[in-house]
Amino acid sequence: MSVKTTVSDTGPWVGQPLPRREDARLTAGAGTFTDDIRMPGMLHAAFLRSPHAHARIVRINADKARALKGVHAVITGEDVERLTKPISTIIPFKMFLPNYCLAVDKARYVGEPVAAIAAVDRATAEDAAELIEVEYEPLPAVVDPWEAIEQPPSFVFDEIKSNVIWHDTFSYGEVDDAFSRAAHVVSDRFSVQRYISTALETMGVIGKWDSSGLTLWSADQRPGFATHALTTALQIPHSQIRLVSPYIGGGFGNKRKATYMVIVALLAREADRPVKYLEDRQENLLGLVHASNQVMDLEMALDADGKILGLKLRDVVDEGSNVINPTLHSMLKFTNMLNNYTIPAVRFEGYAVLTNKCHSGANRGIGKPFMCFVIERAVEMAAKKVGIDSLELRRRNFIPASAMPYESPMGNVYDSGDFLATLDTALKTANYDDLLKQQEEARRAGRYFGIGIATAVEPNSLNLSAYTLMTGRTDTSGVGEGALVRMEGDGSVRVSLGNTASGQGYETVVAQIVADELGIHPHRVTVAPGFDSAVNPWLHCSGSFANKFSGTDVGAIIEAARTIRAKILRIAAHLTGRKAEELTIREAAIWVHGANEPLLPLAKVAMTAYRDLLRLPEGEMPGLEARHFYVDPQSNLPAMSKDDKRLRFQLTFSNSAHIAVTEVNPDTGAVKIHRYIIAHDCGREINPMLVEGMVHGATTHGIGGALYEDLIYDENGQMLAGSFMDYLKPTALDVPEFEVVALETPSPFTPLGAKGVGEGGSIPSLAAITNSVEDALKPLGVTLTELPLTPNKIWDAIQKARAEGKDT
Amino acid sequence: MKPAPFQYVAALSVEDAIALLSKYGSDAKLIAGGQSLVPMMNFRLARPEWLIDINRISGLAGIAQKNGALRIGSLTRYSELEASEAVQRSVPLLGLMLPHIAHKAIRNRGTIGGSICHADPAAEMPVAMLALDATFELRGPTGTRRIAADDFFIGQMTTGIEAEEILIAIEIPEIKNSEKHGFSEFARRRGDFALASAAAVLRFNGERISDHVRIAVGGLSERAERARAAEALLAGKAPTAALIEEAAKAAAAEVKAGSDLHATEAYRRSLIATQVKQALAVAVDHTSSTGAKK
Repeated sequence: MSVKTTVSDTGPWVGQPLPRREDARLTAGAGTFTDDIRMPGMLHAAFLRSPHAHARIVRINADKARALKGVHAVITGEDVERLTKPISTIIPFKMFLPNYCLAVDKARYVGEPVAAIAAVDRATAEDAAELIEVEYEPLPAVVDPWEAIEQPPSFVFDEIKSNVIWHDTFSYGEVDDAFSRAAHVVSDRFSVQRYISTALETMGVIGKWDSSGLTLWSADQRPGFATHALTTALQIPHSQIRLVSPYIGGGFGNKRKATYMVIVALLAREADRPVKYLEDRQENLLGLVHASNQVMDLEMALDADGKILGLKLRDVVDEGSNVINPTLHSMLKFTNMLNNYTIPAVRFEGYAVLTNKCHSGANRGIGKPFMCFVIERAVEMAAKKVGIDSLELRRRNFIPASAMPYESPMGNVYDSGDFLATLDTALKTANYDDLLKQQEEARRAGRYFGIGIATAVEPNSLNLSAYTLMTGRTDTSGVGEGALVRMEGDGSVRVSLGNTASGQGYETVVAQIVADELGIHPHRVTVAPGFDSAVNPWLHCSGSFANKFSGTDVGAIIEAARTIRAKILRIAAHLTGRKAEELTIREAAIWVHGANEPLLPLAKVAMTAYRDLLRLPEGEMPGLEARHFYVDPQSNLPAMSKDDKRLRFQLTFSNSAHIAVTEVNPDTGAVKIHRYIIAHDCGREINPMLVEGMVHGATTHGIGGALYEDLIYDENGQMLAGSFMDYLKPTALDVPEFEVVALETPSPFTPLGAKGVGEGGSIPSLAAITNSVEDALKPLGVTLTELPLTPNKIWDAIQKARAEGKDT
Repeated sequence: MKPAPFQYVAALSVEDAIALLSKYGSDAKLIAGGQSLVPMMNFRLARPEWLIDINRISGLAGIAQKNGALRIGSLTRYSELEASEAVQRSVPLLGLMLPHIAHKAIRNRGTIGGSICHADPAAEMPVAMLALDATFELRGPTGTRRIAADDFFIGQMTTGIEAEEILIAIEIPEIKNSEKHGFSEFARRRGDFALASAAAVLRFNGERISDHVRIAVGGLSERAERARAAEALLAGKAPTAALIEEAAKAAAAEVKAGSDLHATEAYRRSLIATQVKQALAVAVDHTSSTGAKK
């Protein structure tokens, strides 16, 4: 392990591996999560969920459920249609497709809530759910995304007489010219399955009404969008909705669920009691959200030397029943299709398709793991075709460090990074030449030993102007965040954010950042662990998404802290008869620059600000509190001309190189990961220990996607992986000890030079493992294009190759 | 994910349990470790009206050696078996097999009797019971009867136990001098139910395998099965690599294997061959790798 573990006693604190202050509390079970909250008279909700993938709801009779002892409220689609408006989409979309919190006219996926019950306990609520009689008229299920386009067995939404919710072509550079000049073209179809993070804490909501309106406690990670959705659905003023996020036990993009909130709000109003709903794991797997299954046809044009000239891509995203934020996967894929290569021409034709499956949505890396899978698989295929080593092909095509900042044909600006150095660091850490020798020996012994490499960019933050290019709507742009910094009268500081922490360690890193800005020890900084829309500063784009913390959120924190710092210095100057420019703050005291002794304690200034109101500088407002709403200065507006679809979609770019060393058991098809080497560069690391934890977690997510996890549906739209017996997460026994080395190329675009790291491991790992397994099976000449690589699938490929006489 | 309503009653003696079973019949379920029953109840796949808790019955757990056999009380937990020197020494197959059962926390709670009566075709315990010629002692209102493992397992989660009977003990012959055991399993992850598992018990006449050959296979469609054609191939012969290969293929061909989410039938039969081969290899050469490889 490469992680720095020594902590000094003094600042600067940014860059030090401070242990997570959250851990003692969380590992002792002392965190307060949604399910830990109990209220007098609180009821428990259960949902009746659709057993059909696609069915018209003819009638529902809930009389028996309502009559069951202990049941306080039952709602069905009829009530919902009467009492609410459809839930607004996260990003307004071209066509209006009603999205209610319960199925109103028909059920569109297995697990869609059809009715909801509030009862004295969860078991009684589930008993009542069984008593609800629903007459369904089953309809043909739309399952395969290509079939959904070409020969739809039915329409998921009859309103649009098509299952294609979005279809567009984005073309950058001279694509046809690139292909006409090509010496080599590689082409193939690639696919990735549905998989999801399955946070330890499932999604939950508590709702309670009183004279001030509705209060919700929920593990929601996008509070701005959630409350907006509630105000439109429930038709109550936004100011009467208070959303509190207590501790969140993992988010990964999954925890945004206005439908649950509206159901709970309706039940609580009907029962006139607080109501709690918490998903069980089956509901979590069936119905929280899925990352899309995706299929992409790629053509890559190369010149005779292996320089990539252009890409033609045709991509289909299976959105399931998603009408909340479709096109998310499409957008985040095509805008990043260069990966880390100079590719001057790209044409991307994308389809977002509705099917009778759980709605797709955000999950760690959204679309980019598949982007990288496609490109890094294609690079391997191209190297074979050109007849050069794939490492050499990568080297010839990397965006050179000297070209930074580099503007991609799509308009993204890569801020910094030395992709060649990252790759070389990984190779050196792996002892690559040694590995090749080991492989040679293993192959001589008849073993299937593979070395797989993948390199990747990890884009950070998301300019929401991007949606203009997808939807044509112009009411959302840029990206920002809110932060509140308050120094109390004793010089200690509290901070709260518009972002909702869900396990990233914000309490620790925000304290490090603020401690440096205000010249105090991080122990004197307390960061609010949760979110409260009545207290925290927030925007509609607030929340945890798109790796935006280290650039966008840090900007808000630093600006708020600097406002306080300037005010402290003005007051100190006034108290001491100095000029503010002469003064600085360190070690919790005010100093004249270069002096040996402090001038006065910081607490003296702080106390003055709160109680000695008449001794403040003239016109200075009392108190030391700053609330800053930050707009990321890297975000921009689209050109809005029909031909110019360039935009700074994402704002900074971390990068990494992964090397997976695997062995395939030819009898069982099982893959053993012998070693896993990661070199990565997320700019300046705010806390190297937390960074390494992120790398481990994200890479494990990718190992799950590559080898184990599959939210698989059968041809009738039944989901087959409804429990952890069939939905297989990699456990500690299935994950190797990662060998991680960090490079630190500071970003010129962010306040601290820091960049995102939460998604990075998820992105190249699918490709690194697949490249490795294919390399292991090289003696058999197997080509792998479909994930996940289950033992059965690998065994099938081996049998096929042997039948074709390919075994050497 | 909460169970349908049920009544709970704790039996304090075997007689008590039998009386309750006689009263409630098929509306009742015995609960021991609950590691399979409770999840099934939470999914509402099992809906007993009465749950009869046998955990407080004294004398139902424990391991004793008697007349060349090991007598294991049905309420004995997996982890007690794992920790027992008598089990490790007298029935090496159990020692090889037990670590494959789920995870430590589950083995601390789950019981040998529970697994046998649950009769999951992918579970390990029935496979071992078949290979070991285990005998089960059942007691009901009319008295005690003994049944051989092979007659006990009928189909998927179906056994020869009557609704008012309780499994008291499992009797397993102790290993003979000339006897060798092997076990192997393939699961997607360590601790998962087997896609295929195999147990082998071989007695030797010098260098040759005697007529006492037991090969049992799990991870099948209906129940754990003996692979009798494979056994017949080995009887009386020297265990060459080619013979083992042939026996493994025979076993894979003769048992009832099906397709599911994690394995097609063809793949499963191939896994069965691999696991039988590995179990036989372990039995023949006890110094070779023990247990399954991923």
